[in-house]
This record gives sequence, structure tokens and C-alpha cells, in this order.
Amino acid sequence: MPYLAIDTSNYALSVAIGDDQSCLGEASTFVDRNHSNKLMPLIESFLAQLEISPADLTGIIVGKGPGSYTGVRIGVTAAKTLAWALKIPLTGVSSLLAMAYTAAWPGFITCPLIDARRRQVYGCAVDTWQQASPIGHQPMIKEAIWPLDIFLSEENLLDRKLVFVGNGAQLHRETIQDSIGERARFASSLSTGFARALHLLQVGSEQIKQGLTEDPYQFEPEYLQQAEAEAKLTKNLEARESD
Amino acid sequence: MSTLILGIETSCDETSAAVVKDGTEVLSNIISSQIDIHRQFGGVVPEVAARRHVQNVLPVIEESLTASAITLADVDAVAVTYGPGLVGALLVGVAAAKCIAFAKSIPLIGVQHIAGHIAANFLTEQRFSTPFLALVVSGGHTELVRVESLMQYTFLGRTRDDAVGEAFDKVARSIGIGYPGGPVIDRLAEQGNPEAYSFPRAWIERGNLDFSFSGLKSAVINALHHQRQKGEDIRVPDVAASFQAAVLDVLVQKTIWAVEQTGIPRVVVAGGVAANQGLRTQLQQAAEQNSFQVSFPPLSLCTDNAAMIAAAAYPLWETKKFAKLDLNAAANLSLVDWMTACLI
Ligand SMILES: [Zn+2]
Repeated sequence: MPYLAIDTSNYALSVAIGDDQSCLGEASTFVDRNHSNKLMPLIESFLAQLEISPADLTGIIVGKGPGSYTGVRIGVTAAKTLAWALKIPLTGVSSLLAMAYTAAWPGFITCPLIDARRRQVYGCAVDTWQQASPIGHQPMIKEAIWPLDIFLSEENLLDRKLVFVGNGAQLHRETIQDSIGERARFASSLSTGFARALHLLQVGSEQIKQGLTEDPYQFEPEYLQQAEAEAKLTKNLEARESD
Repeated sequence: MSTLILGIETSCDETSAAVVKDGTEVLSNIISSQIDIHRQFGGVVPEVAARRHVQNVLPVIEESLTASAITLADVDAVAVTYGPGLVGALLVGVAAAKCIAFAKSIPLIGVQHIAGHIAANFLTEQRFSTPFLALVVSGGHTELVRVESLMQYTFLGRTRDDAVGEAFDKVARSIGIGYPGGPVIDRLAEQGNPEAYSFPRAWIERGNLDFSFSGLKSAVINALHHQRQKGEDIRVPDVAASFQAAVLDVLVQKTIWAVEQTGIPRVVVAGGVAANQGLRTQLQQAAEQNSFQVSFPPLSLCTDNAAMIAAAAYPLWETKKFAKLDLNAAANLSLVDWMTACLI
């Protein structure tokens, strides 16, 4: 009973097939380009490689973001359309959580950071090592768009050793080191810092097993931010109300 | 055996899905418009539009199947607009269409949006033969096209600056009468004097089939500015009527020139501005006086919709010109680009 897991929310384009017992395979590229035209050919050839037809799939798992707005839309639209057309369950997993799983170190809190421009990051902090089951994973710092300096001064993280992953970590490496010094480590192995479908599969298959599934009609990406025009409009309305 | 094509359209601010039988019979045409959302911004905001498409796309597709009394298993092919349009918006429809084609192992057909507008004319009772001329008038396009066959297009003329629908929107904004501008100006024009202002007509030169509307737009804005400075009252219906008259004179005269130059006495009108009542009346009169035929899509098929996309896909179904799963959104896809891509 294979599930298909997909993530296109950031620079990785990653798919995996398997269930809660085993992963049959994973295919990923870590180049930030053309997820729109590469995703379906990758799924098609990957399923063919494993001799699985679309009709054999029993569930879809998707990295729901945050990340590039366009990227998350491609993955989420694909996932919900596949689930709807094949009439199989759909579940979403945070792309940040998937990134965190690439650097689960004993004694460290993992901080996946995605650059969100203007010295902001999409980020959270999770104790990936302690938490055996990924279900109901409570991050120590919730997923949000953070000004970097506020994230780094969060009380929950004081006195803890932190490992940073993701492009936000690379970009702001010096700032982070200047701010918290020796407590910061950077996972630099080639396999870290990407949302890998293998990790989505690990979390998502458990969610499907427990019935934590989504309605494809309602399911939306986790943008973590309003569209700029909407944010401005909200601000203007609030300003008018307070006049 | 009849053919059922599921069409999907998300190129701008309408999420639409339709089922069309044999390229001509509309079984359903569901349109979820975002006009109320974008009105508060005074125009379409691409990121907002793309987000709404993600919310709407599956409910709209499901509704089109239900309204056609069929299931996904009955669909023979899925057709989708892949350009031109807002890239983020297009991507949502393209992703959904590819997944349906893949999941159900049915052909995928990529359609160019303007070809869709032209094909809206095939969804009426009236049948006409190629070659014909198409006057394409919308928020993004103003073009005169010679249609040799349903897969063979030549441009006779196009706009050098603003599209006609864009000019309507900008003028409406400067008069302060809301969004979208086309329908509002059309309605106000009926009550106004079209000769109250003498706005310029951009002929470029006699017989030239290109268009230009930015000079007209500036003339309207300047005239209003002057009047306001002098503290004069502005009769909005007169402005609307005079502006619309200037636009229509040019559209109609250039259409007549196109008929004369090509010797093709059949014209179809396509695109959102085809709903303009003034344009319909004047072109009809011109057709009678100059003995050519003119046809308009029904009002419900003038604005963006998926039935026209499924209709435009039918010739490709017949000739098995299917797209592959690497189909991508193409923001600037022209009719000619599309023809070339299909014939490879
Ligand atoms: Zn259109």
C-alpha cells in the first residue's frame, strides 16, 4: 500500500514512495528551478521505475510549506488534485519540520530557517532527537515568519545548543554566530537543510494511519504570510477604524 | 462515440471548469469570479488571484462534472489554458490538469487563451467556415487575426500600447466610476452625448490595422484635469459616451479595412470587450453596410471561461496533438508560439 510524498515548496524537488513500514525509494533534485514542469515527469518516471501505477497509490503526502509561494502552490495543487482524482487520503506536513529531520542531533534543538527577505526568516525550533513519534510534534518555537534577531532571543532557546539548517541559516550564518556564539552549530553535510520527501513520508504515513487527513477541497498551502496587497489593505482598514 | 473534454481556465481572475461535448455542445461551464476581491484593490493582484485559484480549482471542477451529470471516469481528455496570462494563476490550472491526466491516464491538451476566446464562437448555433477574421478585444489584447484554419493564425494588426479593455479600466479609474471599467462605461455611455468631447482617434495611417489607445486615454485624463481645475461640472455620461465613441470608431473602421484588404467577408469578435453593447450595435451596422458577416459569442462566453478552452482543444483532440506532463505556464504565449508548439 504505497503512499506518494511530494515537496516542491523550496529549492528541493523531492518525491518518495512507501508507507509507515518502509520507503521504496526517494528521488530528489536540490536545484531551485522549474518545479512546475519537472514535478510530474519525475513522478511518472519514478513510479515506472518502481513498477507502480497511479491507481496503486493509497495516499498522498505533501510538504505544505512554508516556502516560495509559487513552489508551495505547485506541490499542494498537485497533491490535492491527485488525491481527489484517485479518491485516496491526503495529508500535509510542514516543510520546515521535514527540513528539521535532516539534522536530528542528540542534545541539540534543530532550527530550520528559510530566507524570507528583509532580515526575516520562516522558522521554528524542534527537538527532533527527543521526540520519537513525529505526531503531535510541538515545536519549541512555533512556525512563523520571524525577524531574525527576535527568533534568536526567544526565551525557550536560551541555554540550549542549536543546530541551524536551511538557506536562511546559510545566509545569516555570521549574524547568528555573532548573536549566540558557541551555542550555534551549522549542519553542513550534503544531505541536510532540504525538505526531503523521505521525511514527509515518515511523518505523513503516521498521520494517514491515525486518520489525520485533509479534505482536498479545503486544503491550502501554509504561506505563513498574507499576500502583500492584502496585508496593506488590512493595515489601512485598521488605521481607518482607529481614527 | 461522442467526445467529452474537461476544460480548465485560471489565467487571470476567474477560476473556471467546463465540460464540452464534441467541441460544440456545452454541458456545463462553471465560473468562479474573483471580481469582488480584486475590486477593493482596483485591479487584479497576481498573488491574491493565484491563492484564490488554489482554493477554487477543485470545487469548480467537481461542480462542472456534477452539472454535466458525468464523473471523471467519463472524461476523454483534459484541456487547460497555459498562456498567456498571470504566471502564478496559470500554474494552478496547469498543475491540476496535469494531475488529472496522469491519474486517469487520459490525454492532456494545452490551449492558448486567445484561441479559446475565438473558439467561444463555435459554441453557438451559427456555423461558419474558415477562413475568417477575428477581432480580439479584451483586458489584455486588441488584435485583428486572420484565421486560415483552426490551427493557422496570422496577425493583421495588434495594439502598440494599451489593450482596449485596459484603456476602459484606466479611464474608468480616472473618472472614479469603479472596476471593471468596461461594463460601467458601456452603461453610462448610453445616457451620454458621444459628441460632447472630441477625443482623438488613433488611425496611425490609413489602412493600417495596428491599434493605439494610450493617446486617447491621456486625452481623457487631461480633459478631466482641465475641467476640474476650472471648477467646471463634469457630466460623467458624456465623458463615457465620448470616450467609448472614439474607441469604437477605431475598432469598427479597422475591422472594415481588414475585410477590404483580405477579401474575407466573415468576422468573429472575441474577448471580454465583445460584451460591449455599443460595439455590438456598431459592428452589426457596419457589417450590413459593407456586406460582411459578423458574429459575437453569447454574453456568457465573452468573459474568461473554460468552455471556450475545451472548444479550442477539440481540433487538437482530433489530430492527437497532445501535451506532455512537462507542460508549463507560459505568461507570454502568443497564438503563433502555440501553433508552432502544437505542430512539433
Ligand atoms: Zn480572456
